[in-house]
Amino acid sequence: MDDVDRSLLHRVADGDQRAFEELYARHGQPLLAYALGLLADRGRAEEALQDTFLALWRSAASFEARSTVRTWLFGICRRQALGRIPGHRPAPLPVEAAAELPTGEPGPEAVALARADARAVATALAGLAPAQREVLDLAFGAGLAHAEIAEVLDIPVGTVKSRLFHARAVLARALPVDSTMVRVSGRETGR
Amino acid sequence: MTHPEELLAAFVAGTLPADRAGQVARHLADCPGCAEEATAWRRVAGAVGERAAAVPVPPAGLLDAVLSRLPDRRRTSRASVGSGGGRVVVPRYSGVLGGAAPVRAVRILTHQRRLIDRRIWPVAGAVLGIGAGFAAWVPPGSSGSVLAVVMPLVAALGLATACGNGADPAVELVAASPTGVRAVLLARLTLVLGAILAAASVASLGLAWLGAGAPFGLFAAWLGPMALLSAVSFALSVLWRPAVGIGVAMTLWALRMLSDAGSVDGVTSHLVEFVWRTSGPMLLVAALLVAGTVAVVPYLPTAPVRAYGR
Repeated sequence: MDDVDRSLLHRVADGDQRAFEELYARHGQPLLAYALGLLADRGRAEEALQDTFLALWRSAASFEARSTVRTWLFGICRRQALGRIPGHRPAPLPVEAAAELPTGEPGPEAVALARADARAVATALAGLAPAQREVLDLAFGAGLAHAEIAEVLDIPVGTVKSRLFHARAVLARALPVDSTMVRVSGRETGR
Repeated sequence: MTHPEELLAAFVAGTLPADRAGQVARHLADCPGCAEEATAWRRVAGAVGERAAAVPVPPAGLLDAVLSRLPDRRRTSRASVGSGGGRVVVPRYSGVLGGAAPVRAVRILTHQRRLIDRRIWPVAGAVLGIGAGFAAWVPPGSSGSVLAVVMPLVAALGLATACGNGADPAVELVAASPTGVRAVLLARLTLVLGAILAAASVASLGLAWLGAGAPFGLFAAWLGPMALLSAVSFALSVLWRPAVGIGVAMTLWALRMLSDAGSVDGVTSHLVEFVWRTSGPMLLVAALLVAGTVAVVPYLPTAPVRAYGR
């Protein structure tokens, strides 16, 4: 996959517009979905997408093969999207707030989620803050590997994992109580 | 395998390497706790995936808008190093030269004029002026000899300085420009020789007007020697280095002075007299020397290529 991207990118670096359009066809939609998740505004997300591809055209020649083309694009898109949030950047996330330790026992949040119905999870997801949802979007929406997410967000891989757990915990707590078969009573639930 | 909770998110997302994914799958078959964790991740993944898939592909107009905003990238020449994608971009500097050949020639001449060492002009002008003044001062009939001594020397030294290899402060810039080495060399030759030729012509016409001699005789006195001395200086300066061109030109010039003073033997004197005359063969030799230099300069393996680029 990345080999194809890379050869396309080299052609873009040589001014090949067809290759540019192909890269757009391959990554436009996932990038738009990601930008939309960050901005929650269709117009600004489309602007961010446009500027991402303009930046791609301008700096295709300077792409260093340290990351995949896809990771590189998501990184550009992220900067373009965050630059469009007027005044404030997403609040820094509390670190390790809800990272569950591996025990072999599913935590209450996991149990709640596993038994919740899809619509309830979707509703809870929609209520999540963009900064919290971002890591989920990258992992399950765009399908980036954890190492790639770490590059896009410029954080260690370990932090990617804890953010995923954290986002999942917040999501579980946002589930409507009646949608779950077990009561979610928070972290005090006996473990 | 210990409980792979750390890997379950990636496992569900399908981004684990195949061997790891296999291990996780085997573990999940035996561990209800981890299986439930995985199910929780699947719920999350399903909701996120649906949400992402619900975003429609960007509208067609969006790509058109992007394409219309693409800046016209200047054609830059890239040299690939290796095959691993590491690219070294070699910048090429170019101005707009225009399409028609005469326009391009004028532009190249204009640009080269700025690159030639400016000190050439006042020095050459001063020597020419003093020489012309001296030629006006000597008794009529001797003016031609004075011009024959001064004009060729000015031309030879001027060319060595302007066209000589290695003495150019703008070498790097010239080497990175798409204008070929021959065009650059010819432009400098034209500029310097043209200016000195024009100045010498004006001086000769002025002297003829003052009655120092017949115009044709005055021209003939310096034209042949100037051509030969310039050609020798030009060829050696370009092909070797300016010091050699200047040295040989000065030697020829000194021989001529010694011959005038009667300090050399008869044979040498006759040879110098023959060379120092405006004649068909001498002009032809000079023209061939210049043409040959211009012809071979792009193929020189060493210094001149470094100095001008191909």
